[in-house]
Amino acid sequence: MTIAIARQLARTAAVVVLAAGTAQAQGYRVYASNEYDANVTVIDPDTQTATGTIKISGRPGDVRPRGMAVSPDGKTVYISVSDFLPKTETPEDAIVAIDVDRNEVAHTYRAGGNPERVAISPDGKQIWAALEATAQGVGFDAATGAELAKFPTGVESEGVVVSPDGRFVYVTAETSHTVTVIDAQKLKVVAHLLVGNRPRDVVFARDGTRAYVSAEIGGTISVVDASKHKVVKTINLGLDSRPVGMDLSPDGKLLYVAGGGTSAVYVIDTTTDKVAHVIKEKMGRRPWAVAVSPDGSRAYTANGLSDSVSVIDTSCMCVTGQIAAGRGTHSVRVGLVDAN
Amino acid sequence: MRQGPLLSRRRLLAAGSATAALPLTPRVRAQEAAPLRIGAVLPIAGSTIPTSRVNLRAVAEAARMGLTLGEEDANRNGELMGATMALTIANAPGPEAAARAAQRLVARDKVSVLVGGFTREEAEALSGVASRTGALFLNIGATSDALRHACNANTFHIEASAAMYVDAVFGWFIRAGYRRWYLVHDDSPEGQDQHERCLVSLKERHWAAKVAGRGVLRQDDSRDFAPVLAEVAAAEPDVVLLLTDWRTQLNFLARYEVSGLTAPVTGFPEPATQMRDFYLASREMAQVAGSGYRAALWEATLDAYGAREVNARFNARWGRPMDPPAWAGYVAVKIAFEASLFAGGKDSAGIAAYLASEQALFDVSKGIGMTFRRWDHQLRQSLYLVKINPDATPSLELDAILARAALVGELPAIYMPGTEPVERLDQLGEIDPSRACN
Repeated sequence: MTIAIARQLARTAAVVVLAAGTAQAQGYRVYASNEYDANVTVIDPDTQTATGTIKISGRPGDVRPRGMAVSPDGKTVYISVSDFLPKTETPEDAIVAIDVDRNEVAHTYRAGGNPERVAISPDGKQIWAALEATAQGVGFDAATGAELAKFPTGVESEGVVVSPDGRFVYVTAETSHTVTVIDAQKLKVVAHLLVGNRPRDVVFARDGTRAYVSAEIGGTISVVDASKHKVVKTINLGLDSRPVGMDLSPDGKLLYVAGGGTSAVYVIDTTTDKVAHVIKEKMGRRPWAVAVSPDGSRAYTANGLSDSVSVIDTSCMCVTGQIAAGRGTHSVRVGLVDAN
Repeated sequence: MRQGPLLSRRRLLAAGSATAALPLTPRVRAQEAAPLRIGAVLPIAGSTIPTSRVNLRAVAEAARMGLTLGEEDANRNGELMGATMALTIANAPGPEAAARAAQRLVARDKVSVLVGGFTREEAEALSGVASRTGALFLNIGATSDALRHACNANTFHIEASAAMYVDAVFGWFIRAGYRRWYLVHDDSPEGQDQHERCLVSLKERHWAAKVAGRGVLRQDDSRDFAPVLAEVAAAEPDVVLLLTDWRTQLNFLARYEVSGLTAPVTGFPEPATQMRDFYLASREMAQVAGSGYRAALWEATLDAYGAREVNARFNARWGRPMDPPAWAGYVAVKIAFEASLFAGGKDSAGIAAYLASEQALFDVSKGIGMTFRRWDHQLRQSLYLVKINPDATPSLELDAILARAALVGELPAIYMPGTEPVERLDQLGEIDPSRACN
């Protein structure tokens, strides 16, 4: 696969320069997948500008990069790549690994089945993907690319996450309203549990005791007891919220939820399970994903209808900037770079 | 049956803090053996019924395909939770045959859910069987507002009501500047009801528009359109609305075209007129007048909100686009199965109670959760505006069939941050929150 980083000098962007004195514990870059441009926008958080793109395919509109995940060391960003033909197997169905230091594609894992989202085990040895077209969750050996196992989920599987202890994989399925629980070590299905209506994304709490599942049509977040794999609470965000992507603050105390229906980010206090903030003003249109910076000072949203990334300052819980990305900005993730 | 207050944003947000687990977790026990039994009564007429307005074979076939895909998806999903369903299809054209078939399905095949209703009379017959036997009836093809007014406790409507379609058609056209309307209806009770509903809609919701004239046709297969065409010519309307059956619409369009009249024509979207084969026929009968804008319950080229995936599954399964009657059949099975799962049982009373409850929220690939109105058991939903392609071809290639029409509008719009979704969906149809079906 050819590699290119194109300078986006012609792109206009609302830029917010980092306030002087802001210290980053570790450098990072922000990556945004652009579903209809078949590329990934690379963003420098210091200048809050897009510094280039990484081409995933030369066939935008046919090839479709969507969900992303980051390796435990932050040095590799994985992207699930599929196409717009749910019932047709194409060569593009793959997991693409981007080396953050070099901003280059480092590896491609053939996936099949229109992978929509991807997750990495805490030890970096397993890659898991939700195959939307074939209603399956699939695991790969990250070193060899060999398929470990494939499991049936509900129809239209989407979200996938690995527990912090590496033991379990949760895969959501949109039409069955379920989460399939896979034992990642024994490679077998443990349970299926019903969550909210049309579940999309799933994340584990930092300590692994809970998981959170967003339900787009239900407008809810299901709180799962991860030791029992059971829903113990449901947080209502409202029928119109249409929550999709989520991310936790580094300390795990805040859950950021992208609400595509209301173009808002809901910030949930995980100690009380109450909505602490709703960030709407100046938000891009239809935020579908959110990623929190390593120091928790910022959150970034991927906005599919404004083709942009919104920057949230978490000290004021307000949007302080917009960065132009590509067409159909779908997901956003943070990759770590050496601070110097 | 418990009747709760309307869903409201305030109520939902009031519960926006942590809540105890809502009854989203089903009470289905694993390894449950008996399936949910659903019986569909479809007018898959034999070749003995001539091509006429009463021959709804194409519509029924589409519904059959949708129902079958619905069963397959439901069983695939249900397998995860130890729940299954079984679909039985009865071929029964006409209300008397439909009633007999439905009674057999309940008595012999032990179905708890009936699906069907492609005319007002058929739907009334099936609703009657549901009332007498306790089965649940899901109406997937009858638009009559009279059915909604009847408000039977065990009857729920997935097909949009005539009032919803009329409001949608007026909404699109009047906003586009078409204000003088010529209404053509037949002399059937349904035709007259639709005409009356048009007058109500114009009076109460679309004050910028008015009726330029009215024409009445006999509900038969005659083609005596000359008097009405002359009146249309004299009235010089902005648009003509045909409140007739599918066959009369086609015949009228042909005569309209050759008469030289140029005002756009649209027709009441009964299910047969929403099929892509109808779109082709309309264009072939009248290349200009027959290539206009039509309202639809579903559109096979929708690619948002999960519609791409369900349309693709249908295309792959059947080699045909998912016409709206197919979508309605698919959704009927989906709704019945999910209701059974969340209600915790397969008995029709429990499922009906769930459908009427506040918790009953369904994803039908239209971008927002849909609920049933408590005052008429009508599924709230958005409708679509499509434009028939004047260059449509008779090719049977899938892409060519899809190209016979294109999506141009949605009403109400789904993406409208800051508006209350239930109120938004209630822009269409009859609104009477003081009533409740018993």
